[in-house]
Amino acid sequence: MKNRSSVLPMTLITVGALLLSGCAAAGNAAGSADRQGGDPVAGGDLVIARSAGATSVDLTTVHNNNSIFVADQIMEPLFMGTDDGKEVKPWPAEGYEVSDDLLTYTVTLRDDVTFSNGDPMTADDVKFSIEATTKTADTGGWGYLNEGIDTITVIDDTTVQIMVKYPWSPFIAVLSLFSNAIVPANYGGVSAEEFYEAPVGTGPFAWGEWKKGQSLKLVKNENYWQKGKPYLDSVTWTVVPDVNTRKLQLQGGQIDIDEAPDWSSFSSLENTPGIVATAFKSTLISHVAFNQLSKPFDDVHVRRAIAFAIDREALIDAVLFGNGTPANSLLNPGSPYYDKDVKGPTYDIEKAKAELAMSSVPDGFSTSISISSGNTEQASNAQIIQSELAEIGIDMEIKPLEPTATRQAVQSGDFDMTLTGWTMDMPDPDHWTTFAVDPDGGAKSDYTSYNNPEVIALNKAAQRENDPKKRAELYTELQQITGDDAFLAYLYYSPYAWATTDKVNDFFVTPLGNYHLEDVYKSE
Amino acid sequence: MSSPTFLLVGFQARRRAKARSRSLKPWYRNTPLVAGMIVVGLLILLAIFAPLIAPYDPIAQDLGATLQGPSAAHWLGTDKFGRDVLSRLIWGAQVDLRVGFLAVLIPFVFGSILGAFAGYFGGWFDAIVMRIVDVFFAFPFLVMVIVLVFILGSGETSIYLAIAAVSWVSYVKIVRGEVISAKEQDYVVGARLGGMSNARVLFRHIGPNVFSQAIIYAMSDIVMNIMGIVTLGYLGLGIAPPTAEWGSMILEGQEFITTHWLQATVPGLMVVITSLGVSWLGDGLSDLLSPERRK
Repeated sequence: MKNRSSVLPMTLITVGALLLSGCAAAGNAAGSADRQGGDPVAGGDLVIARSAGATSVDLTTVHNNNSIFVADQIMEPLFMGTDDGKEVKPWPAEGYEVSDDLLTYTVTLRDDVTFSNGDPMTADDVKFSIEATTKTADTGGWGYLNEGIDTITVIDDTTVQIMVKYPWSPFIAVLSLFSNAIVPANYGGVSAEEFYEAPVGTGPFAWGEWKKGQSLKLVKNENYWQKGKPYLDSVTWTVVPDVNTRKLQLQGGQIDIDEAPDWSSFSSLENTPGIVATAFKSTLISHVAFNQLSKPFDDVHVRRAIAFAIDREALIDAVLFGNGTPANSLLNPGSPYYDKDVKGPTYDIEKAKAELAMSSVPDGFSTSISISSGNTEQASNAQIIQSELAEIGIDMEIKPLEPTATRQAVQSGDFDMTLTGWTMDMPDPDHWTTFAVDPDGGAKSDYTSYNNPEVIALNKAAQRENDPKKRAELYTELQQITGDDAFLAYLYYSPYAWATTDKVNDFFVTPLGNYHLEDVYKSE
Repeated sequence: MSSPTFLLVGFQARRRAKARSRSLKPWYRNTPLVAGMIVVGLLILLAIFAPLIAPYDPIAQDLGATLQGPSAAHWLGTDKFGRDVLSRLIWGAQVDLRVGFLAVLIPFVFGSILGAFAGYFGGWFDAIVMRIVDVFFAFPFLVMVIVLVFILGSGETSIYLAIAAVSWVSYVKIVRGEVISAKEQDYVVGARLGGMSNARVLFRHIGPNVFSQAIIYAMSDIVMNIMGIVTLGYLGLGIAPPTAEWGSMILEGQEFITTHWLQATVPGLMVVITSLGVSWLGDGLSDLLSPERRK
């Protein structure tokens, strides 16, 4: 997942800032409507302006979305999340078969896929790529997500057999993760460092030019396996940190797409002629995290009191300008196995007072919340929560630190409360639940040190359960218990905000946050 | 965001130019001084009496009345939390002026004394002090302050410490230079020949003639400090929210620059007015305190 913030193998997204997220509620019909346009027009350069640039194009290790969503235009995984973000479809693969004991997967590849340099993609490339990713587990890359993979065997040019260590439901979803994108075997004969200076993949766009910190340009892959696509000649991502500047550039036509308009100007953009502002359905959840190693957050009543004291509707109105829905579960409505009937704590000041009265600190206490400086959404949320907690006798100091310092403090357990978020990178909840509730999942339970053996067992069982119905029951129970434990105080689900000119057609952002530029074309 | 070095050079050049054309007029005919006193005086009154003047509690949120335009109830409207912008502006004066003025004290006292010793005694002591000063001068003021606040954590105390740690060097340079030139003057040579102790010569005879330059420079320093805290607030590293402070008001208002422009521009204007007032005061004091005038 992507996130902007994390250094560790996971992704905690700082809420807010970067990914403007999305919305749930409405979800907004824009997606499907936009996808049926007239006849696509070939040619043109698409310019996308963003607040911060890519940092690396090595998909096996890079953790920020600004890099991932560029690099995955060059290199593609074998499977792809569907547009609703809930399932997986074959991409440069034909499909797969699984053995009865659920331990052997046989993946068939398309025979017409070539890399952008013209070489055919074969089973050897697949074996090499996935093994290379798995190896990054020890070096801070995404390899830990491949830990269920046992061996990979090349059967013939278009067939790969993959053995998994145990019946492992998320497996195909893991293969759809950007980190398992296919690159040429042995990097085409160069070192990994050299390869990622100008990577080669099977994606719709090929390496162009990168002026670090300013712009990154990719050009059309003439050999793309989806015949006739992409329509665009090139795509350029430019870095324009100031949101007001991006807005003016979009109105002036210097850019085609603004990756991150802010919610405060979103409704005015919606009403601007020539501009299309869209809130794409997301898998983003924003929450308050409590450090259970810091007293009194080891007390469930304290955590519940805070979770009950937060008026989520007020946050959504003031911070997202109405573009969100209150969160009731650890999972996002855009994720499979989300249960809308799970009752997480919602705003109820009387219950908040009652919980606090039952706690170890019935008369209130002083604490702090660590946020990243310069992040408007976090700063706003923190100030509103601060005034709401004051009403039940909790004095919460806001500690803004430079973003890297905040991340380090949180990861080393040096905080009381903090604001974070998460978006899914693959259409399976395991990716997030393991990170969030399993202390051995790589991040001390989302850095909260939450440790409920019942929840950990449920998560492991769901991971290995192959019957979707039984799996759903396990995840529902997990969502209910984690809500009751209030190890996080869920705030809201919000959509991804995007703005384009009306000349951009068929632009669509999936709930996982990625977009398929091979479908996009510009009209005159 | 000029560095102190830059300000210092400009300041010294200005002072030399002034010295040539200076006339002996009474203090109340000194226009910059009077204008500066009025502006700064009014601002200080505003800050001191903020609890009486401000119509609302500056941190009281009203999420039902956010982002309102100017009205009879809220002269400058409300911000995104429904807080009264005018009240925040008035309370913000308290924080910004307090930091601006108080943060000058430690560097002023410490830097002036160190500079006086360095200039008076010279030798290895002077050499060591000046090398340290050179190191500090090599970094721009704001960059150093921001780095130090990162290290110390945000909050008013660390802002004082950060500013003090960075700005003392200017006083060393000014006072040292003045002392070196004063040291050769007849009245100092006479005092020393008369057998007075070093301390007496330095503080009774040289001191009054050189510290006035440091006082005048302190006025520019106040402007720098206010810029410093406002910049920190703007970067989200200053006084923790929800305390009203001009820099964080600009930060929070910036989001709405195209729709509710008063929110970011009015605190910005206050920074400009304050800086202007303090600069006038500095110019006026420079006229009043310069040695040329007292001859």
